[in-house]
Amino acid sequence: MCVVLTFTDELTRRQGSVDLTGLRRALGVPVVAVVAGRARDLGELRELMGDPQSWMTPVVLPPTDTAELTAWISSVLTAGRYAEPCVDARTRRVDAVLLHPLWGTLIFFATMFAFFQVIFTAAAPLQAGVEDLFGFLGGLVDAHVINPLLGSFLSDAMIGGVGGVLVFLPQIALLFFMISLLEGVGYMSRAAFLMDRVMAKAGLEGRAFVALLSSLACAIPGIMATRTLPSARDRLATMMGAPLMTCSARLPVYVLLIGLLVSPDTRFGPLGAQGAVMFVLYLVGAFSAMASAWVFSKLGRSRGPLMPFYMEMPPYRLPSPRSMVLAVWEPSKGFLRKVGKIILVTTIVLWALLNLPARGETEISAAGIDTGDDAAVSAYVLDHSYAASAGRFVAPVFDPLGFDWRINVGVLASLSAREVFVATLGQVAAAEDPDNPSNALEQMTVQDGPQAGEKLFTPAVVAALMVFFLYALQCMSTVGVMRRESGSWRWPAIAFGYMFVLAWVMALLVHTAVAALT
Amino acid sequence: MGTTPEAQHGDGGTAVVPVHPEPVPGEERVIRWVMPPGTLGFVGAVDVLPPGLQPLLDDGTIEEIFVEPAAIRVRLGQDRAWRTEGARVRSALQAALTDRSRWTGRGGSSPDAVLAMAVTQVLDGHVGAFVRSHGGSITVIGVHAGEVEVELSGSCSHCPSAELTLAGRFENAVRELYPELRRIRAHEAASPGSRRGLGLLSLRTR
Repeated sequence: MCVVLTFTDELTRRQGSVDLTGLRRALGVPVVAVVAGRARDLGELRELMGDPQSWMTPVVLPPTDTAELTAWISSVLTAGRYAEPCVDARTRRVDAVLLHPLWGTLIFFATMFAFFQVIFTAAAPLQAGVEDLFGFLGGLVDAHVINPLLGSFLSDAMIGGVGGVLVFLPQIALLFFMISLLEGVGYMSRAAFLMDRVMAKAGLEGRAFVALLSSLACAIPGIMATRTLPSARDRLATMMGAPLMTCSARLPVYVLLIGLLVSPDTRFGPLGAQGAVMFVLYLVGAFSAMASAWVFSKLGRSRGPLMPFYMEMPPYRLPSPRSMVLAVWEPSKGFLRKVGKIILVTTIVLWALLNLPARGETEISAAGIDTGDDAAVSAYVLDHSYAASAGRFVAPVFDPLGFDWRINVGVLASLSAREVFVATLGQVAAAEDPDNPSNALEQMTVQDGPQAGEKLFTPAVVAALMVFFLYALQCMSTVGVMRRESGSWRWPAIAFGYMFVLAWVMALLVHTAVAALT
Repeated sequence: MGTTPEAQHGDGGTAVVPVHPEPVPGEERVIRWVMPPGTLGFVGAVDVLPPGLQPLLDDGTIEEIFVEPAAIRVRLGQDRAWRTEGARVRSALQAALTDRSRWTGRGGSSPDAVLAMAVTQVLDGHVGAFVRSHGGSITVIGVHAGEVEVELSGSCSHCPSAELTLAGRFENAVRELYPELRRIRAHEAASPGSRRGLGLLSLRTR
């Protein structure tokens, strides 16, 4: 064993100190100090890591009895001349406000609210840039690709589908930038501390909140973070709730749907309505995750002993630019890789399903469509494709929610990854109105049933879709991690099942409510 | 890092005395159990051991116990190893340390004897090594009523920073082992025949 002391610069700055020689002798193991970000301090550690055989081992292991252990710790710290650092005065003053039961909570919600406002306002110009780029590429395809099949593949699948997802890269990068900024300056632990009270009401401890907080980026690290929970029951309960937290994969879907629901010009005073809706979606996701964790922890019969909650409050500091760049670069790279693999493959498969079987000109003419009208032809092909059959096949399930076959295809496809929903709608829109795909979604009309001809994306349908995406477990990677972390298929199956039912029921309720109001 | 866990000692005699083991280089069977200074109030061999420890001595687990100013030196029996006996010895030791009235040092140990041993330990330790590395030496002339009288020689005498090295390092190191230290009086080694007033002190060097 070897002890590596970190944050020794912080210790010195706050008038604390520790004598490494004394600590080494008292512990009976090697002790080295490092400061993260200072590579030149690593020499001693490197040397040590190269030769583990030379490490001292303690002659007598530390005691396990609590009283003896406390005495041992106290004695070792004395031998190591440990002087406790004083609390950073600035940090203490800031914490007096930020950890205040009332002001702290208010500031927490205000911060979160501002967070989503920024995601919408700051990302918009960047997003427009990416959109312009793909518009330009689409123009190139139209101008130069003569083969209709290749043209359709490039403009529908590649630009409409994959490009449609890539548009959200600025927003995802911004989300991770803001999360790592909050974490870097030390605010995240304060948020976890404030939320410990709330978590206690849900029968869980603060550590579960940390897992749920990680799920804001992605449920996978969130589920992995449940390893820190000592009680198996709490761990499973947290795992069952974590996928309900609004992860970054939901972001493109929400942005698309919010764009259909609320105009960017709608404002509540100084606040954009789009950011406000996003904030509510995150809030409902967090609340549902906690409620679900609470239910599952109640279902677990055995009640373990209550473990104390430790959480270190780091001093406020400015994160290093390097760590911020890394914090944005890594998830952006991950997103691009996901787009390059899962989303690309699914999009290609979907493109095939949406465009096959191929229709001959005679058949199209026989259906009474002018073969010279490209838009009408592609709409006809789309409407009679394999994907349409699949979408119509599951229609009985989704009809009550107001979804039509095109949305159904998107929902089915999004089971592999949520962003595919955006890619699917992008493809459908590009096929239906090649000249102006961005307007196509808004103009889309219902094709089947009694409402045929009416607007498809009514507020009720969009709201139902949002709620469906809020609750449904449409992420096979999460299912896989859950299987690995819980050791059987039982829990992922339960999670998938309960979330699907919950998603369907909630979407129905919201659809009914919004339809009644509008 | 949170708060430092402070084991309270000295209240009611029930609290656990903070101790930790430190090996003695070259002596595998010996461990110094470091404890707060003044826990026992005497140094040297032990005449009467508390009931908890005596059986360990009787059955051969422990061969010898020797008290230092801020540690207890325990030597295990011939065929014993600390890996296996450590926990048992520690529990017995810790229980025994809660009641110092059960311990009796061999011969009447006075506070000055404790101080004298503390001074010796400091001079044998890294402070002594530091002085020697600067070509000087410190000789203890006497220890009396919490005062230590030392003589500086070699390059230490007449060195302007001798006052600092001694007042700083030496005194602090001794005080760590014997907090009741009143003061340290340093003399420069003078030319023979001009020693000042040392006859008044009863010399009890070790």
